[in-house]
Amino acid sequence: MARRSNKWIIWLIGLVVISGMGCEEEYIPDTIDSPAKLVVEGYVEAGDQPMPAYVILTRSRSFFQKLNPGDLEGSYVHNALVQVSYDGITATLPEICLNELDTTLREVVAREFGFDPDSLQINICVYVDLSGQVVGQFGKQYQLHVEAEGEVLEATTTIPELVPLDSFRFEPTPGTPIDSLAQLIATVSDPADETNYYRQFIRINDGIYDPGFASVSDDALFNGKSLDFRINSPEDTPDDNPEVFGLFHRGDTISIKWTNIDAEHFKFWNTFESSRNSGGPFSSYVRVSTNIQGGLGVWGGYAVAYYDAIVPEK
Amino acid sequence: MAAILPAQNATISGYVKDANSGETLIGANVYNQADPGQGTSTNAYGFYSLTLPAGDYTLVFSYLGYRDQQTSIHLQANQSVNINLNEGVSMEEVVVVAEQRDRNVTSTELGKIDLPIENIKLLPAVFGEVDILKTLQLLPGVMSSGEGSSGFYVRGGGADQNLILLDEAPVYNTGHLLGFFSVFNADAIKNTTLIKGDMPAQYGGRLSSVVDVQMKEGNNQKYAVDGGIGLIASRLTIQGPVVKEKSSFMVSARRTYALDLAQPLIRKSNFAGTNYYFYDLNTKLNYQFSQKDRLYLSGYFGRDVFAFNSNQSDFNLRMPYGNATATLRWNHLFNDRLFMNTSVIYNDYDFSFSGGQDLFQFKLFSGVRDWNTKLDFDYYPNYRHAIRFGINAIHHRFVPNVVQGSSGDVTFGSDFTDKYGVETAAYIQDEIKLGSKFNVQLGMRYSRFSQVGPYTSKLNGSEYGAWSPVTTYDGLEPRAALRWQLRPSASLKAAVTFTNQYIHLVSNSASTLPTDVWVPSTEVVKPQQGIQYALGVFKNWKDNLLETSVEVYFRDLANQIDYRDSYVNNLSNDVEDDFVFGVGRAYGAEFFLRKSKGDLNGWIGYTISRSERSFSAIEEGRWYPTTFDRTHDVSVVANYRLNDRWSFGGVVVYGTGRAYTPVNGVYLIGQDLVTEYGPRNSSRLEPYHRLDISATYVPAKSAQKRFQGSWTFSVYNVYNHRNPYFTYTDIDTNLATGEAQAKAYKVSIFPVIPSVTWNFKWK
Repeated sequence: MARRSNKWIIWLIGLVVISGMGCEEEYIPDTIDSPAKLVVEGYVEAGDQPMPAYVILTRSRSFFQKLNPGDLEGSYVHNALVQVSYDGITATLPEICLNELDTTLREVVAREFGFDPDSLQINICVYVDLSGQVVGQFGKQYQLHVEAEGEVLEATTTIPELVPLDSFRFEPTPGTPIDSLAQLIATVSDPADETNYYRQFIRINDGIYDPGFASVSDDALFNGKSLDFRINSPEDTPDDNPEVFGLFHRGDTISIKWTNIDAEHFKFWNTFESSRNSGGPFSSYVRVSTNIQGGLGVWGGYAVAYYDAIVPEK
Repeated sequence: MAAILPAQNATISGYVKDANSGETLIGANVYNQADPGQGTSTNAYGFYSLTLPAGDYTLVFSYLGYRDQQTSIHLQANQSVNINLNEGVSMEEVVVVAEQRDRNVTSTELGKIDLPIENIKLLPAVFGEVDILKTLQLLPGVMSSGEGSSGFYVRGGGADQNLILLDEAPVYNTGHLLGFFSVFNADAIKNTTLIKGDMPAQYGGRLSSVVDVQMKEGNNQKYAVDGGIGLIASRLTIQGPVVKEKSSFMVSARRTYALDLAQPLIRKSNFAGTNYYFYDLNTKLNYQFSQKDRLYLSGYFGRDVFAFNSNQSDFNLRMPYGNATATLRWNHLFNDRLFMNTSVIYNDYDFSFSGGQDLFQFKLFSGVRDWNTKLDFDYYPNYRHAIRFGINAIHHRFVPNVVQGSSGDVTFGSDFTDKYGVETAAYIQDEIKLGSKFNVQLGMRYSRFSQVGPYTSKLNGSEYGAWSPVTTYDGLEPRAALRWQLRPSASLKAAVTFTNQYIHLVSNSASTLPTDVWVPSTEVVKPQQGIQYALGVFKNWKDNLLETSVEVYFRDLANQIDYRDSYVNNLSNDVEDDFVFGVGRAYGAEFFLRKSKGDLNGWIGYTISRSERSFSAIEEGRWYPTTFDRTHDVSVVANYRLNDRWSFGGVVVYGTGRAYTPVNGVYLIGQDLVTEYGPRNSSRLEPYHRLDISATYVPAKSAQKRFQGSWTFSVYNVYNHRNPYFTYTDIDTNLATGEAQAKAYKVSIFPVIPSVTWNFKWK
């Protein structure tokens, strides 16, 4: 909430100053030829309907004007050793690529990983715990070990205890109510004796679970309190359409994926989301943090709860 | 010292003032015409004291922009002589007064420049708003913090390393409207002094520079009103005697009004209540009880107010911020040679930002508030010594970024508490004339800072009560400067300056923002320390018509502060927990050519410099250039007076592009491409350059008329060069189609900007 509000002010004042005077041109920036780095995006979940543990392994690419499907597909790193360890158990995750699967399974898997299967052009490959050896449990640590193309990566994450939502409800839109829309208000009771980090995703109708543009929060401002807060619809950003930003269409079916994450996992998403909004005159660039030793990206544990509802008609 | 004086010495002392307004003149020269080495200059209150062997003298009183005055003195006993100088320059007098004219060669000071406000007003100004801080940026060694910004950096030091004083009160935030305009209303200002080299021992608390701004005292002869109407703001200043020649006042106000004019339209819209404005109010009152006692009371109050309402969605924001300062000073003359000033100073900067929508309300506030007392003595035992000593104590209160919010009945927020500090200092300095060739200035400053309670230690949980010291830092700050007169018109100067800084402002952006918070040294944050070595050659040509100088410097900086890599301002952490500490160095050479007299005057400044930092927590201590590192920086400033009606000004600036952190590559997270940045500040924007011009027209007036209007036409960025203000990258990824497009943009903000300002005077 705080960061969002801060941005508002900056933009509005910026507008006062710049309106009608500024000028923007595209240019080719300096780039540096440094070796491409290995990038991990991997998760392990506990709680409601946990996804199997999985890791997407890619390489960073130099920054240039356009990437075609071949370039993107070429980012995936194959034939790596990917292992997850916990409680003395070590599981090796086999690699599967979407075009190895039959159409039905492919559709399910693609959707699970957050891709629209109908127009998927590239062959996504994932190291995934198909055999269910990795069981996500609250409060447990999970080590990741990756060996690929002569490099070794290590990472550790914790699945924290789940702090579920107490309840949620839909309310009329603020100000002059807009009949076709509603805002989603949720209540959480934050435990006082620990630092908690939250991340939420929203699925609307048949869509994917979308974190929207600001999905993470720590409890520094409300530690130990029971608090009502608004969850925004991921459909817009405040810049696109400030008047209806974050509101839900009445009649839609929505699902909240409510998660708890650990400090490093929070830091990754916090810097990730902040970096998308930075680089202007009023904020320095933000380097996205990582908990991967020897590489980039994130190895993150999620404690998950799902809540489904239909946005009620007026 | 007095004991060693020969008995036949006598002292002449007094004040040097403007004959028309009675304003005291700061830094005016007073010297023996036959031996210019026997001389002094007026202090910040216009007072001088010169002790010479008894005899007959012709004393010369001179001040830039004023006609010299020569006074014959039969000096047998101590005597008081007040001098009134008249404005105007007459070239022929240059011949008469020979060499002492220019202090740049003969003074001990290195890297000190006085800018009388009248000179600043002749230069072109963006939107026609005269701005002393932007003029300072045209001097060598002073870098702008960005296009159109009043923020500046001196000799490779950070923005918080400049001590900016308004009638002795530190000004913590010098910018209006995100720094595009400074808080100093030129109409209320008398004089501005920049010290970037050897900071005299009476100044302390900052590493890089002192900008000492003095407000006008007010005309003690007659009432005068002046003002102006510009594109951005309008100004009105009233001054006059309260008791003629004894007491005067000055009130000066400035306010913007662009969005006020738009209010009728805004009021009818969904955004009713939205507005933005800033204003400044400067006031000053003085009373001269006798030749020995004088009281000054001055105050400044300024605010920026931004309000945004969207009534349709019940959304509102309000952001007021600004400074308030008050200074009470008492000048007392114990005798002809001992001058004292006592000051009590209050200053406050506070920022607040609040907003809400529906059942959510949010407020963020921060600030700094000081109570400050000073006791300063100037002692002139004989013309060979000018001794200054004094003490200073400041109580600081720092309000961190405090967040308070509510959601319905539930309140939430940060649990930060205010931090407190006590900063004290004592100093002594002697400027000694050793024969005709050498001047030495020796100073010592002892400074001490205690973080005091109420406070609960983060490190061990100890509780501290009010005023109880938590952590104390102190240090000696020796200062030494030497001038060696090579020839009457040439000198060599050298200086070493140690400085400590106990309060800090760390900005995460390319320039400073009103949201940036000042923080004290604490059990976590150590004081910044700096040493500067400077060497300069000064030579004047053609009977002091042209001044030239070359100064080189090297600075060594310890306990420098920055935010750790991947820092995000979530407002929920104490900022000091995200600090990293390192070292810095800065070095450079400054070339300066100035012509202060004649119809065509101005200067050319060129700086070649480097400013670097190293933090063990950032890229394993790799030295990287600061964002304000500029390899080359050139300013050409010219004024030309064509006749009584028309005068013209021009400014050309060129600077190496700003250092920025380049994009190294991109990588996939989910369906997004994430930007991977390369080494910090390892690329450069393209060079910055610009030309500004101005013309001032003063219509002819009849002698009786008390009213005088004038027009200033100004064009900023004449050839419309698109100087990049910032850059950003934008990446569109569509994994469904398998395509991604990465683009980089550079944004410039100020195109060619013509402006016109109407000014008037009534007296």
